Amino acid sequence: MNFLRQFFSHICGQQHCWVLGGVSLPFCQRCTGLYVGAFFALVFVLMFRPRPSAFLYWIHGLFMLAMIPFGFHLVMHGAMARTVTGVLFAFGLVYYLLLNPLTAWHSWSRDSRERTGTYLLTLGITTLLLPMIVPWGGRTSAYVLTGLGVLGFAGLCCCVVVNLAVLPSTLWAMLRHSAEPSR
Amino acid sequence: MAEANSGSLLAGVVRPVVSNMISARGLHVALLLVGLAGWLIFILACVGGPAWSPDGSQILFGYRDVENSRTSVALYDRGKDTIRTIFSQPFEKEDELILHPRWARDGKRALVGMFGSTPDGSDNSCLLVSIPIKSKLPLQVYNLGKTVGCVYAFPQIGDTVYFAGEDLRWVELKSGKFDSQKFKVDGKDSPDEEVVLSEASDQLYYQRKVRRPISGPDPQQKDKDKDEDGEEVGVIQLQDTSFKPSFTYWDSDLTALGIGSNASDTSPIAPAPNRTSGAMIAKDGKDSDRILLTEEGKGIVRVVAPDLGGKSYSLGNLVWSADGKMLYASALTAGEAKGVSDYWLTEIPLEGGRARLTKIASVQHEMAGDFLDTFRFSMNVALSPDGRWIAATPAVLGEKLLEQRDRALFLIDVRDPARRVKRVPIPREPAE
Repeated sequence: MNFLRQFFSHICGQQHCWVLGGVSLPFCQRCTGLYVGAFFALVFVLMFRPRPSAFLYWIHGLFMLAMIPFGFHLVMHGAMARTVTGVLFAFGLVYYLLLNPLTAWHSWSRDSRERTGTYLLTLGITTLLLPMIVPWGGRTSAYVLTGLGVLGFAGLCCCVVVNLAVLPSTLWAMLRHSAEPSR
Repeated sequence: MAEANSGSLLAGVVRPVVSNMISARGLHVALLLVGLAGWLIFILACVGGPAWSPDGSQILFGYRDVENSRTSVALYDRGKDTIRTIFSQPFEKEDELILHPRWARDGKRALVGMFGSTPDGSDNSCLLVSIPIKSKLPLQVYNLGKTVGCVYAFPQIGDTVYFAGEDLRWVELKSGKFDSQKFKVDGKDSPDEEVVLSEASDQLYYQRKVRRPISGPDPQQKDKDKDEDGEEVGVIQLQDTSFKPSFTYWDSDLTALGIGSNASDTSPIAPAPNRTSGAMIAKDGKDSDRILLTEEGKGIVRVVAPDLGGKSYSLGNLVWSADGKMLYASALTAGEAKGVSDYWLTEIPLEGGRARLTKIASVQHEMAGDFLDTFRFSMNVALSPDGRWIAATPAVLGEKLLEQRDRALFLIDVRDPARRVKRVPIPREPAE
């Protein structure tokens, strides 16, 4: 845990950390939402692959924009709100990070409406359930949340790497398209 | 013809789709950049930046401005590495208690509890001064009337600041409304209470003096000298200012634990992060202080005698580490020279083992008398919200007690194996 605390101190202020069963999580309450939420977001986006639409672009954008009033303390809020806004930000971030790879691999689902609905349902359940783990929390919850947070952070890093790998071909396709004479 | 038709069909249907896909690719690249920028801003805001942190990025502390005969409050900004005085008032006596600043919950104002004059001329009224740090509202002063609660820490629940002595007094910071109410015992006003407050998890904890008769040979005999004193610990029910006791410890309990002091000689409880445990200091006139660990509903469950390498010591205040395994304390030991004491940060592992000492300063006074009270009230250590830094200052002491270079705020990195100490000199105000 000490190693993780040291590691996350580079990317998290570690103020307002959840302490469950006497164990302090290595990231703050908002980052708990972000990294644990990122784990679930990765699982659900990859599982349901909801096809991009104007609605999904906007809803995920709004999830990220919610961080402006909450993250910069423009509105008063408590510990649970920190974690919930972190989860919503995670879903927005993961969806945006997976847009390019899933488009490049033609992996979006076909029966989009049903899958999109299920995806949004799981998103809502995760957002509600994750903060509920905390009041029930003991040491086990602390270790589980830490583990999921580490996996979520690793997953976000993988998304960035995958994007770097996919980006050249995406840009190349865009360049070729723009160079083609319009008929 | 059929081929041409299928070709035009392809051109008519597939090309817009491909075109859409390519424009969608552009949008996806843009959203990728938005996502990455958002994550980066999230990290930067979380690690530390201006304006968002209610605490941690800035530190308030009280100090004695000996050159200008004032007690003052300074604000140190860790990000900018700047320090400035935000409040100052003249002191009349050298041993006058120093000001104890606290942050308002929203991080926009500093709060200082202090004694001041009442309109009727008496000088023991308690004032709460609200000093703007990131607020446009001007400095505000609330007069709470006469109360001994002014000398103790004043807890905050939401926007309300609480003081307690013989009754409960509170100020709602947003509305400026002040109110007070007697404590209730068995549904009736209890006029003569001695209550000390502490806060944890948005609950108001109390310690109050209680008394019980000692059962003697004649149970009918009511002799006040045979009464025993104790301290009751619990939560104040704010809706009716009644007490909800958790446990009580008596003078005889401390005697049974081998502690040569009374229940009333214990410090206010420092609640642990797990909300159910606590720690307090039992002062012992003959021996070094002891730490009493408590559990909700059980009372005192353990006595800890910190091993400071054989040194005799007094403890000032206790602060729990975030994982609840360590207690940080300010400590005073006899110095090498006669009439000199050393001021330390002590890290006391609760699982056993020797405490770690980090020296902060030497004080030109022996460990005795009123100086010990000043040490216990005013030379506390405070843990940063990230659990990494301890802040402490001996700058509350008078001119003759401290060298000029030690008139500073000291920050100790408790995650650094070498325990590096950063020294921030107090602001140098020009003499009037």
